Order: sequence, then C-alpha cells, then structure tokens
Amino acid sequence: MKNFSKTITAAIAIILFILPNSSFAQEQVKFDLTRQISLKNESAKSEVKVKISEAYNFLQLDILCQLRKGEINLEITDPNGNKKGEFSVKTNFGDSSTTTEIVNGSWMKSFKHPLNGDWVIKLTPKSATGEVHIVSRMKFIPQIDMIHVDEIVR
Amino acid sequence: MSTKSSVKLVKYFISAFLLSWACSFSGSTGCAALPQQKGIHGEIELDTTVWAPVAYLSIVPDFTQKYTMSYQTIIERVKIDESGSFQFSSQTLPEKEHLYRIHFSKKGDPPASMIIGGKDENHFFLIANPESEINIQVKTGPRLINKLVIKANTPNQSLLKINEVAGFLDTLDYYGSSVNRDFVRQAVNDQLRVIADSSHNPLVCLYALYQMDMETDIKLNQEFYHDFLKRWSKEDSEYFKVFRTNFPEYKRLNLLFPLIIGIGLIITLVIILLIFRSRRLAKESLYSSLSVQERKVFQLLKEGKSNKEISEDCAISISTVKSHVNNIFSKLNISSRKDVMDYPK
Repeated sequence: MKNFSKTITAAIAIILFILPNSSFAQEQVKFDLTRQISLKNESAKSEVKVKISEAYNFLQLDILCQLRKGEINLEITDPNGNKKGEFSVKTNFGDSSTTTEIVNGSWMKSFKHPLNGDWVIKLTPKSATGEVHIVSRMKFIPQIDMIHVDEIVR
Repeated sequence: MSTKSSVKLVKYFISAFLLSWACSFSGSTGCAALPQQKGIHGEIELDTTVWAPVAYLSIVPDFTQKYTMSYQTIIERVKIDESGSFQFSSQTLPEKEHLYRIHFSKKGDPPASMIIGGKDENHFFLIANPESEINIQVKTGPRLINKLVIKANTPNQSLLKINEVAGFLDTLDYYGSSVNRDFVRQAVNDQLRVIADSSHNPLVCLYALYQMDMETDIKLNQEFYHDFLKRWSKEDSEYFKVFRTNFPEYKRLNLLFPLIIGIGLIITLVIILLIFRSRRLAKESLYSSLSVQERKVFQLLKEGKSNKEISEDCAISISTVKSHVNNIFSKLNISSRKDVMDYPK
C-alpha cells in the first residue's frame, strides 16, 4: 500500500512536469484588435489606446500609415509614459494642391511581458489625408521566455 | 541563488559585454583597410520577387527626423544590378558630414516607404561626406537586413556597434521582471553615454544618445549632459542646434548672453548721451553768466565780425569791445574767436 501511494505520487509529479510542456499547454489565448483611421485634411491630434491586461504576456503592435497629402507624426508610449517609438510621414503637397503622392510608414514591434495598462498611440496630423491602420495582437503564451519573438510573430 | 544576486550577475555580464564593445571605439577599425573609391558602394542579396531592385539615399537633416519619410529627403536613387551591387556618388553630397539613410522598397509600394521593426525593416543609417569611401555589405536572412558590414570606415563602424549595443533595448523582454528590465536598460544607457563621451565624431556621439529615451535620460544624468554640451559648444551643425533645444536652460543661457550685450550697449549709449547733455548744460550755464551787452557782443563775434564792426553795431568804443571780448573769453573758458564760432549758443 505504501509503495502504491509512492507510485501514485511519482506519477502525479511526472504528469505535472510534462503537462506544461505538452502541446495542450501551448494553446494560446488570443485577442486581435484592428483599428482603421481615415484622415481627410485632418489637423486635430488624437490618441488610440490599446489596453493590455494581465491575461496576456505578448503584444505585437503594427502601425501602418499611408498618406496622400499633408503630414503625420505617430508616437507610441507604454503605460508608464515611456516613449517606445516614433515616426513621421510627410508628403510634398498640402490640401490645396491637386497633386497627390503616396508615402508609406510602418512601425512593427513585439513585446514579451508588455506592461499592463494603456499603450497609447498619439497621432499628430497636419492637413493630412490618408489612412492609419493599427493592429494589436495580444496573446497568452505559456513558457513564453523559452520562445524567440520571431517564432511567435511567424 | 537569490533574485538580487542573479540580477547583479545579469547586470555584470551585460556591462562586461557592452564595455568590451565600447572599448573598441577608441582606435581599431575592426576591418583591414582596403583600397577603395570615393562614394557609397553596396551589395545586397535582394529577393527581387518581393523587393524592387532600387536603393534610395535620403539625407537626415537632424536626428529628430531619423524616422521621417518623405520624397523631399530622398536625394538619390540607384538601380541594384543583377549581382546585387549598387553605388551612390558621394560627390553630390553636402560638404559637411551628414547622417544618411539607405532604404529599399517592396514591389508595388511607393519609393518613399519606411518599415521600422520586424523582419521587413528596410533601412539603415550611415555618416558620409563627399570624401567618404564607404563599402557596405547587407546580408539578408530571416530579416531583410539581417547583418550589416561596413568596411574600413570608422564612423560607420561605430554606428554599427551603437546599433548592437542599443539592440539590447529591444531584447529587454528576455528579462521578465520590471526590476531586471530597468537594470538592463540602465546598463545599455550607461554604455551609450560612454560611447557618446569617448567618440571624436560629433555625429557618432549624437547617434548614440538618440538611441535612448533621451528625455528621461537627461533628467537622470544632468551632469553628463552639461559636460557633453560644454565639450561640443563650438559645434554649430543643425544636428547640434536641434539637440540643444532639449535643454531649455542652455537655450536661456544662449539668450542671456546677447541680452547682456544689448543691455550693456544701451547703458553705454545712455551714459554717452548724459555726458554730452551735461557738457551742453554746463556751457549753457556759462553762457547765462554773460551780461546783456556781452551776449550781444558774443552773437556778433559768432557772426565773424571784427572789433571795429562790433563797436559800430553796438555804438561803443573799441576798447569797450575788447574789454567785453576778454570777459566773454574768461567767463566761457575759451581762448579765441574760433572757439566762439564753435560754441553751441
């Protein structure tokens, strides 16, 4: 009887050790969010917030901007207010011009263990006409520290 | 091992690793010097099914525009030949050293396309002037710019090393806890400041500093930035002018100097005017000491009349005229008829 209980304990210990590494445990909780912002001779500043909760331990943030007129600056800050990135896209033509040109700018970054709270994308346009797509992918990946970011993104 | 000691160990290893990089800044170029031609030569194994075989060279007018994409800043576009080679002529570049960005665009995308981050990051930076001899090798892999090799060009090799050091900031997510992240961030920022402090190239120094969240770093390391500004106080490039705008007190100091000069000039002018005025008043008060007859004689002297003419005009004897003239000279503290002519009244 004593041996039996030892065997059971060992079996449970083995199961508990294997379980987190099994394919079952690799299942991810996902939450994708896409926002599309159309700008037409826009000069008003705006903010887009991406809320990260404790349920997720991975964040992929893609910001794609295509401009036909004017200019725009985009700044990304984490919930602590630290700037994580910034980029601008400018065209040679203002809204009064009949000529347009297309300029693209993209910002794509991935974060393991992103800070919980509101990640803020600040948009500062000047007579801007175009589109901004913000795609945020949040996941919970068990044992994320064992996986390279590139593998998760892929 | 406790968490505290493991944090220390991580910090120690990172510092040692980064320091070994930073130490190589003082002299070695890392690659053997090769005979080269002036210009920017490059090689890239481009997947032409995805990427257009064109390389674009843009000027970065200041570091705040490092990630600004526009057609205005693209100064040259060259075709990438079948062997993957491309070449920009450095002769058309501005005389002074500038920061440049080379980028590639995907097929179907506009030429002015910038991708920051991810496997498709499509650009890199370099420092050049018309005399530059730059040889770049872009090695592709899982990423478009998987590895960048720049041969025998010290400032640009420094940029690569800075990129490697700053790359640690992107791998911060390997260190789970926020305490560990802060330690790593601090270690990386310390090394970037060491590079900025030790490099002799002003653009390399700024490139290192702009890799950080500078706004936060300035608040934490005021003494370093104070010394840095002092060291490069004579640097008048646009890069430094824009960099100095991060320091309002420096701006105030810069405004204070011309203000002091201006105030000094105004005070000097006022003093000179006051001196002239007081002299004029002194002369007027001397003039008022003359008698009615003497004033009349004085006016006639000013008109250049002789003693005889004055005697006739005033109906007085010549000896009386002489006496008035002597009194005038004595009271006005002058010694000749010419002095009378020059006298303000």
